[in-house]
Amino acid sequence: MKKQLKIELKKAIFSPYFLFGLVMLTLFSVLSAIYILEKNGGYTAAIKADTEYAYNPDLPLFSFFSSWIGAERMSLAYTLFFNLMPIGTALPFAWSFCSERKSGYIKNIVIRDNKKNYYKAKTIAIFVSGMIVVLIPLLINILIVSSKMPLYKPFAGYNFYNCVYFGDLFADLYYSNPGIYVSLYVALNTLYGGLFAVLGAAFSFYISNIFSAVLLPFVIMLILAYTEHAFQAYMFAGDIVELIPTQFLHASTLYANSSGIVVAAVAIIILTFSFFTIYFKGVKNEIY
Amino acid sequence: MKYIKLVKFDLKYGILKRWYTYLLYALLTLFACMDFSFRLKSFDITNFSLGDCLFYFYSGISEYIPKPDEPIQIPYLWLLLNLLVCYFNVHYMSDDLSGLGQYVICRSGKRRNWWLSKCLWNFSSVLTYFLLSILIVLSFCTFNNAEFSFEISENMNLICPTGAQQYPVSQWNIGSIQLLLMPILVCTAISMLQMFVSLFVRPLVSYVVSIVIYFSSMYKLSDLLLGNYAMILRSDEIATNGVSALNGIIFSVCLIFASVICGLLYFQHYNILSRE
Repeated sequence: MKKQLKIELKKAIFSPYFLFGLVMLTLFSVLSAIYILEKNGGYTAAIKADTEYAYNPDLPLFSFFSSWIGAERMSLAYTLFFNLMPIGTALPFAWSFCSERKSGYIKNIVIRDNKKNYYKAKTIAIFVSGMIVVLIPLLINILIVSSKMPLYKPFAGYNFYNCVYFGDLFADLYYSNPGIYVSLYVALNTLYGGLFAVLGAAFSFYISNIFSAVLLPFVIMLILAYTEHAFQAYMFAGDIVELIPTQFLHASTLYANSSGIVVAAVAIIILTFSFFTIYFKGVKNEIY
Repeated sequence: MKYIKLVKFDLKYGILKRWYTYLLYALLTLFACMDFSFRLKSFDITNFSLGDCLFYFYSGISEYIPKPDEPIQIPYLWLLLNLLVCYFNVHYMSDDLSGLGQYVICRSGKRRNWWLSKCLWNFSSVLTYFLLSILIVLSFCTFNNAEFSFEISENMNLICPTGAQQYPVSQWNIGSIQLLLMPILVCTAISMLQMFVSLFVRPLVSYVVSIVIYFSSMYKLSDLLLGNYAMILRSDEIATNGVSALNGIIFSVCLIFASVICGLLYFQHYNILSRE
């Protein structure tokens, strides 16, 4: 199992699809950083020069905590980053998962090792590769933005401008210890990166076409987002909770409040569906 | 092998045998019709026209001016109606080329015919999705005794949540070109471009290109971003700084022809055996 996992992880990290997913998401994260630094970066110079802007009481609105990709809400890049996350993460390894089953590679593995071990190692490798594809671009964005934007602690009175409302997921941490808040959201995004990757792999058991399987998580997110928006129109604004991962993964509220229970429930649903699919369709099914 | 035989093959395997994709698209349209109907009820509107329904589908979003406390209101219905067509069409050409297509090209002896047949299939496929959608809208209008005209009702700007409120309906001068022709033409152009790009990169990457075009169009009102022409709210007949339908038609037709001709030239020397 250990040896198998090592092989699978090596295959994951050195695959060109992994590189494509990583480059794509990194590009969006860097573009988001450039956009936000162009918009708000002038404040840092003003603070250093001790001009009148340095005493602007609104400065906490232009800090790093409202400018990193998870918090900014203005650029095209952040929209693409979160919406294309299901493709970027599923691409690297779900692809090889599909093609290995199609090409017969798996048959050669199974006669040398246990089928269960192969699927276990593969699933872990898919999950890890999906996590890395999200983690690295987020860290790059944080590095660039934090190097230029001041680290002002967000002011709770400005919650309507920061768009982290009372009752939102980790909202109290945002105003008391924003560093931990950012770290928790990075961890959440990374976890969902892994989940999206495993979901893409699970879909490949139902859809024979590789392209369709890898792109399906993105299309499903789009359909769910439309359905959610259609229903939201008839609900009282205070009752609306964000259900779509590509939207609640954004650290500041986009359309509806995020809830910890929903975030956990969606993760469990994706994990259960993927686990049962891979176990029953993969491990239990005859490969010959 | 004659060209007509190739076309027949593509229409059979690319459209008829993939009936389930059309069914899914039809179901989405039906759901959108129901959403439209509920929205009318919530505004106490009883009379509507065919144009109202089409406007609800293809209105898109008005010009977005980035503000920190106002994120973009993504027009999911518009996005879905366009991106779903691209999703269903993205892999057919590539799949065929890595399978039966190689033998068909050898038998037909002419690569040109094979590529032109795929272009015709692509056009027919997009048209079928949209015609199916329009057919469902027509049935929905008949069922609800709606008016069969392209006139937009007075309160339609209130129903669409994506920025239509700022433009008074009385000043709109939109018709079948903005409501029907532009969405079909733009989607055909992007689908054709997607197929052409698939010759160089994997279909998956070409689909990402389509996504980026549509998302960029939402963010930036520009003559150069094709998606703008498919959004009724970005038309110069509604917004003063909007895009002209004529420019959109010229741009889309040029892109369609460029994709067909460049694809044709490139495909003459394309190594079909290297594809997985």
